[in-house]
Amino acid sequence: MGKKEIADCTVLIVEDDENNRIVIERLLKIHKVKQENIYVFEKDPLPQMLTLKRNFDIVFLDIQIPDKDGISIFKELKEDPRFLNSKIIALTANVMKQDVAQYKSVGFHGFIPKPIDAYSLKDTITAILDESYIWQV
Amino acid sequence: MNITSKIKAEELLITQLYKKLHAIIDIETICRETVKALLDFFKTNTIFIAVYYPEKQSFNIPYYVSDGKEQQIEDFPHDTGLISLIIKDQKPLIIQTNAHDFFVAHHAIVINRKREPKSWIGIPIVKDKDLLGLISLQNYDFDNYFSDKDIETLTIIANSIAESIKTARDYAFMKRQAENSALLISILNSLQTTLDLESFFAIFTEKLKLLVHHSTIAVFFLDAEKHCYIRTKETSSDYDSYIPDTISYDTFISNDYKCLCEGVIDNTGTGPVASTLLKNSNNSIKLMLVTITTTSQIAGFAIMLRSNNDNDFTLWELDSSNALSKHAATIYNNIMIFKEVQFAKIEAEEANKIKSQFLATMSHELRTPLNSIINFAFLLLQEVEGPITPQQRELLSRIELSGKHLLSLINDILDLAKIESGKMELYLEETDSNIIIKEMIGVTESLIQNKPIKLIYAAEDSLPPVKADRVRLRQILLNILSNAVKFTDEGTITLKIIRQDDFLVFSIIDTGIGISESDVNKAFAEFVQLDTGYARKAGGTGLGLPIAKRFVELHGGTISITSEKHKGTTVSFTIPIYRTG
Repeated sequence: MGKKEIADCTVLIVEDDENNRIVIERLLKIHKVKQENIYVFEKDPLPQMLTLKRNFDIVFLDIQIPDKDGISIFKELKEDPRFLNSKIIALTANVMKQDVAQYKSVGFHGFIPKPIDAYSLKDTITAILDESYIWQV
Repeated sequence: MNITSKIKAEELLITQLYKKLHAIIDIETICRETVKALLDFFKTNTIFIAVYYPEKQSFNIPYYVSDGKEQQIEDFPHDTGLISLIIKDQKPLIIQTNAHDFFVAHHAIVINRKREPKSWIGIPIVKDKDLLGLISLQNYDFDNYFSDKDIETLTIIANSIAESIKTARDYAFMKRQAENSALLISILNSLQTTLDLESFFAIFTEKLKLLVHHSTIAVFFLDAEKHCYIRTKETSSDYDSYIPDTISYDTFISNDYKCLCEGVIDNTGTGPVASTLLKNSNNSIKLMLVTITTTSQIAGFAIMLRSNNDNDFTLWELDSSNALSKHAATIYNNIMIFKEVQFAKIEAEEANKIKSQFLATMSHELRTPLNSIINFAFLLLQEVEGPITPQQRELLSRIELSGKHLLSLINDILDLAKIESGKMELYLEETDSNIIIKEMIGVTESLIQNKPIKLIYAAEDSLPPVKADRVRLRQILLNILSNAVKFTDEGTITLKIIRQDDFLVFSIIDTGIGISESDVNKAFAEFVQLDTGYARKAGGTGLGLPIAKRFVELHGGTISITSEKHKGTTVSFTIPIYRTG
């Protein structure tokens, strides 16, 4: 598997806030991600994805979502073969040091704080995709 | 035996006994050895030495032999028959004839009830006018068995015994003192290690028991809220009919305060303290009381009870109990102070926790809408939704910039809170100053944008590495440099770096608006923006310099500011040079 460009990626977004969903979707579109490759869920995506037969390259996972927290969803995604090769990124406003340390320790591939810095978004995602991402904790 | 040899024998008895007693320091042995020697010499039926105990007002005969048989003799009071005569006059008494009549006349109790002495001699043992005991010799078979000469001999021996008993008693007293001092010290040591009240009172009770024997001890402590003294759990239940579970503060204090503080002995069991504190007071008990008195109050007290068949409470027992209580009061004070400090600490920790939680929540709640504000402005600026006019572009840029300003304010507040609570941890490592400075010059140039400001860099070619947290060193420089850019309309901003001993000194010198002399010392205070009008225009959180100061100090450096209104400002700070090894 060669280097993957953002533009070729299939992306899953789990985000309960409508504004934030629009922000990340549109920012991805600026980086040429195709609309048909973007899947957006307001909450735990797995129950709604039962019949969906797709692999995902990138998952943007909010941490504070109703009913189920992002960490638990992360653990379930890791059990699902469709996410075997996915880069799962914590996209959250929980940015305290201990929070970030937790994302790193449970196995997230990266962390993007809110508000998203649009200017560095592409570099961050690219670093995560080619596994040169460095945790800031 | 002729007279000369008898005198010689008497002299021998006296000198040998003197030598022997000289080396003995316990009273029982003194009595035994003397009686044995006297029996050898006088060859009579009964000889004993009765030792007087003034605190009990009674006599004890440690060694009693009658007709060659050793017997146990109970203690007897000082006002018994013939003995009372000897005590009263402190003079020898001799009965040579008509002994029976004499005994009857004086209600004498005859120790050996089967046989009544025919001859009787009693010699007081006196030292410095204190009665220490008496020697008594009895013969059951003959009148006139003892002579006046014997009184002389026995008086000399009595003096010798007096000396020995005195020495033995002094020795015993000193030994007991030493033992008690050691005990007191060990008690204090164990009290000092306790920091909670419950175990404090438990140890206090336990240790009091070591000092005051044969008594029931009830310890009470003050419950200020209930306005009464409550008995601790350690109290034994021997005298439950006397000792109540609680004693009201007012009842207790109705006694003479000074008396309470000094401690009370009431061997009659009917004094004011006994009658106010006990459920019933009567002369079948003896009472002693000591208080734990702090500077402000009587924090607790101990009631000690004894049956009236037991010994009286002595001054010595009161003194040592008081000594213990006095130290206990100091320790009690310390425990109370410790408790207060601990309580304050828990409260502060709780408040800190709430503050941290609040900050985390605030941070999260503000970031979510900021994500929309900043990024929708960004998206519109990218013209993905269609072209925009230059005026729209300007306004959208202002929205984006304001959003970022608000974000940096949040970050600054979080940093400051972290520093305040001591949770800010620096990752200090060998840091290449040259790289960081190059970066910061680039950032500063982008901040200057179109302002007519010249950025000057003045330092030696290759600076040594510093011991710093890279992220925080950047933050310090950025905060000061962005301030310089903000507050300078035209002229120069100079970044000068020199070595000074073990430090690099960074100076940022601008030709900006400057700060008035009276405001310079406020520059490092949080949320103080000097000359507010201008500051508004320039933007900024007002936290830049305070945070820079904290970070410099966490690095082990110092920071200072000098400024002149309308001339410019210089901020200098030091960061330690990295040393290997």
